[in-house]
Amino acid sequence: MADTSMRVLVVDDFSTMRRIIRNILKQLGFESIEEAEDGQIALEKLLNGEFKFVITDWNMPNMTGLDLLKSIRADDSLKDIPVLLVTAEAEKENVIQAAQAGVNDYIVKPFTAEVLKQKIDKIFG
Amino acid sequence: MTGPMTQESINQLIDSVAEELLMADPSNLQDLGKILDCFQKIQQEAHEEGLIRAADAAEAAGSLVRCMILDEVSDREETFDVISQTVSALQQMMRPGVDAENIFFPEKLPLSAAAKNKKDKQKFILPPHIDEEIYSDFLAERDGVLEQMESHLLVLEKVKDRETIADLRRIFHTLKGEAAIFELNDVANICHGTEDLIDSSGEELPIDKLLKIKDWLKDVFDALKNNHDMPQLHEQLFHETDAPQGETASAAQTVQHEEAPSQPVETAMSGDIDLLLDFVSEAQEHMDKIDNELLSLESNPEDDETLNAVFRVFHTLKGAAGFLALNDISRLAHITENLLDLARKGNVILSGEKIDVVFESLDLMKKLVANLRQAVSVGKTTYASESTLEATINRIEAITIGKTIEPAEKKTEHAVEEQREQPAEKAPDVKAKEQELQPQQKKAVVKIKESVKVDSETLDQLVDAIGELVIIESMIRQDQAVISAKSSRLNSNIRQMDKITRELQQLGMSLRMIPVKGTFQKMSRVVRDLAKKGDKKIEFTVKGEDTMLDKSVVDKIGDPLIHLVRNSVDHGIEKSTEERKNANKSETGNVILRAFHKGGNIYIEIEDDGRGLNKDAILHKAMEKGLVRDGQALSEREIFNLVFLPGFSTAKKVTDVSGRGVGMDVVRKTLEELRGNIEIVSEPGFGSTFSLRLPLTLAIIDGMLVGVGRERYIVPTLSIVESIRPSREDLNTIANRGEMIQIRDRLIPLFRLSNLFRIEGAKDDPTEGLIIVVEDSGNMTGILVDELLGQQSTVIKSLGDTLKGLPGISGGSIMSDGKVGLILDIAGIVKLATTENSMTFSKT
Repeated sequence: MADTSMRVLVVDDFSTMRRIIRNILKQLGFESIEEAEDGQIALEKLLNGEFKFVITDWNMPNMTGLDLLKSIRADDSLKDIPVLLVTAEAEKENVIQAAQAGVNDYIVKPFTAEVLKQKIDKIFG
Repeated sequence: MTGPMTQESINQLIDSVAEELLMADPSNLQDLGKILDCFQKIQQEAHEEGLIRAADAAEAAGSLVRCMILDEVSDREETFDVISQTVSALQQMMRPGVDAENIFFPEKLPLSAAAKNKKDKQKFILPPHIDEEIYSDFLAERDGVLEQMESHLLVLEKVKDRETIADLRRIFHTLKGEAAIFELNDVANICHGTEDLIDSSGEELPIDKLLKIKDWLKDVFDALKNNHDMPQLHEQLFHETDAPQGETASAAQTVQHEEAPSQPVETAMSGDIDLLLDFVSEAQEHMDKIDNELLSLESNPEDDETLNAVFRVFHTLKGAAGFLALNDISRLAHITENLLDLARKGNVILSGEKIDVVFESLDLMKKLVANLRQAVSVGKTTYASESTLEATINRIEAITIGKTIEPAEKKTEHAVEEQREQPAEKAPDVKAKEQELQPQQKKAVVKIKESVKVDSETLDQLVDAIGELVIIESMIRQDQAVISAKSSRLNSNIRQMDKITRELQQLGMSLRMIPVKGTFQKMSRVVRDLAKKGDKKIEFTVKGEDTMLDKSVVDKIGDPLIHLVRNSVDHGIEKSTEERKNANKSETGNVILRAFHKGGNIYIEIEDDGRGLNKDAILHKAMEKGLVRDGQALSEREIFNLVFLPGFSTAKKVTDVSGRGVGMDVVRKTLEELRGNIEIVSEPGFGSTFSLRLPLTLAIIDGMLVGVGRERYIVPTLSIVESIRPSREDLNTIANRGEMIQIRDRLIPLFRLSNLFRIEGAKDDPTEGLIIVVEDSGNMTGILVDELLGQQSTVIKSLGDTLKGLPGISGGSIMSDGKVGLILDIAGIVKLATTENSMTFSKT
């Protein structure tokens, strides 16, 4: 199991979604959870803080999840941060693109705490 | 020739993928992503180099990697092995001097699928979100479309006609969009290419080629209909345009879905009122935001950024609602998202009814969210759904694939309260979710029926013929020989014939009936536009939009309705929120548009809770314009009706929005042409209601047969208030106003039909005749006739152009004795009586 004290960044433009994911993370024992409402803000936060894990939505204004992912992988200080993509079941092409851009895993919404835990365990296993 | 160089780089790529494979974790997405990258490069370079087998193998291996990324393989290790073996085979193949044909790839490598993808057959599988019925409907219509395509092409072979070319292009364009919905990618690609081909060919179309494409499309659709494999796509079919890019779908089909879709959160959310409230307020905020964006899309439907913003809101709503097990919201969002996604990808253009349904969906979504808010705020565990949900979802689905369906089955009712409590689990529940994951087609309520297109002229002729049949039937029934016949068999047969005729008449009428929905939907846009322009907050509610009306009526009331709705928004609702607040009203003004049945008529009402009509201002204005004489005492109703007079306009200045197009006088004129009328009810400070009464149908009229002298006329029953035989003291002759008759406390003009139509031998003394009191737009008039002859439904016949526009006559009808009767134009007569009576017909 991953270290639940690590800082996690949840990126989604819809605050309810952020809150849902935050709740599930809390349920799994994570305590240090931050939110960002688009890729750009996420990137700024990432550059200024010690984040160990990013959970991001795909389609967001200003900077999409894919661009965020690419920026993370292109930045020397960030490139090793695991990124989990939150996606809808129909977005297969997005998943392929994300995989090629170096995403660690993806999760299809809606998901349970159990599924998220499996994904996190896999990433940090 | 870059041969050796490229071969070298292919070798390097193969080596690097082999290395990656050695190090990779088959469940690690990052590793898989890199491997896929490599295979794609190998495929591309091998293809350029003409190493077809290697390219195919790389593609097939890549498709396996894709399946692994998408978690669509049953045994990762095994699949991974297949990939590794493929790479070894590739390495061998690339060695100098090795005959590529002697190298064998693993059996489980979906080589054939990869190859087939490009040019061979594949079985088509309907995407899960598409309703099968819509799909079969789509297929059923293809023949017609292809025939049209062909006939256009044949015409174009002889004559170069721009319009036909444009139409042909449109057919391909539409087909492209539709095919994309069903994920018939080859078809969509071909159509896309064909569009380009048409564009680039100008007027010199390659007819042969286009015919071949059409033939291929025909083969495809025939195969789909018979559930055969997709036919081969001939490569020569399409050289200069993009060859369709094979999806890796068939490769994916060879492996199986392993994991069931994930289930919603079971515990975290249950009873989390806070979260639901959060959702509600955020959803409302987002929906308000996209209101404006939708409006701007209307004028600029292809603005990517705006489209994406709107798409995103529905997308996010779907996701969040999915978590919260708000199935209704999630479904509606999902289906709307599909349409928006197509628009985003350029497959459809959001205009006309397509944008209408998005507005509609947004409206409904707002209602659902409002219901949810209400439920959550009082701590209820259920929230109300909306009765229009299924119909809306179905309509969006249908429109998404490019067709309109009329909810024909919907029983029309004047729904006073459309909301209905429907148990919907608020607390997320695995079971509920599982139900939701079932194919949605089971929930479809509105079935798309087989339909045949008939031009409306033929329909009119049919309705006409039925009308004749009704008449001849009643002639037979009333024939003296029949009435006196003793045969009980004849009598029972006649009764049966009567029944069937009546049914036929009903059916004939219903053929022309369509819901007012389409027209009402336009109004929502009008209100939005106006509210935005006038900077007013307005809640627009539509009720009874499924009410059916004769098509010709629906076609004609559009403009008057727009005018009335404009009027309500522009003049009815107060200029500022302060004004409303001062009047103790909510900041948001309400405009309600409703349709309902009442007593054989259809009513359409536009109600607002604004300022109400100002009687003094109207009267003042009418006097200014010389429409009313000084000192003339008018009832409230009469004052309101002044606004319908030509040349009257309450707007102090003609504004951009209200002063345009039709005026109130035209509104009334249109209604009169439709044999309806309009009335105003208004309370100063509380708002106004404009009530339009319309006949159910224009083809048949319920009439009272009256006799004047030796003539007979038909008075439409819906205009008749009462009929009386006046006594001497009820009759008055008033200076300047002619003959009047006192009915209870009202004095109304008396109108002699014999005067207008110069009928000889009519009764001259009103006390010996009968006075039929008719009403139009609130004005009453007494019509003097000799006697009442009976009541009957008659089919209206046009009098033809020569007799058109006769004052006082609106049409003719064949009566049961076979003679022609004239139908009185009550609106016209009332107008004559109230305005001209004083001059022309006064007998002072």
